[in-house]
Amino acid sequence: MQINLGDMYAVDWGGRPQHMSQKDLLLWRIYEPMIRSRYLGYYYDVQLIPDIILPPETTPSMKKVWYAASAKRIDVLAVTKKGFDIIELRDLAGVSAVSAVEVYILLLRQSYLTAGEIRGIIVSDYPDPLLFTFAAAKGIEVVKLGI
Amino acid sequence: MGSLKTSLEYVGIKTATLESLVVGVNAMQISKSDKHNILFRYAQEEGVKIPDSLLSNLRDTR
Repeated sequence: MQINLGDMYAVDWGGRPQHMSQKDLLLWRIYEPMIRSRYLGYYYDVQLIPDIILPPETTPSMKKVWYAASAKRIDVLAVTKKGFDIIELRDLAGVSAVSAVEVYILLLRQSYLTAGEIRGIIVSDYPDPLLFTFAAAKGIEVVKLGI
Repeated sequence: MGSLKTSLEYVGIKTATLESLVVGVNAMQISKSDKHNILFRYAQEEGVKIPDSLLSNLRDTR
């Protein structure tokens, strides 16, 4: 398992994270002031690349494409004093968002960042009503920002 | 990064007046302290003061 963390940004950085979609950015702008005091910093667009065995004849450039295409990407990885919070931003969040966060948690535990607590948070302005119950059963928090 | 005002309008909160802003933020399913944090940041960004009489209407709806 490979992890591409990138740079950690201070909580008061205030810039636009690279690769964050416009919809995700709008949700992040509301959610971030609510949680800022909990965190030491943020990593954005963290790539988790599962171990994949490719045929030996695969060229280096094709390998690069393959790994990039199969990487799972965490919108925001927030650093706490005890570990990490995985923050998934989705405007329309179905129950599949829970599985996505579970996969991120699983892969993160396989990385070198194994120590400490890892929690999942789904932030949405239009969550599926079933999402709250399903996520709670899996220990994942759901935050509804829309009205 | 865009303004918090733009983001709040995106999720359906009317920011035309402070009253409508507070009503909208109050309708979100988040804790009272989270609502305070949003309004505090909004007031900072927009250079406005949100009266205590409006803030006292906030309720925990998580």
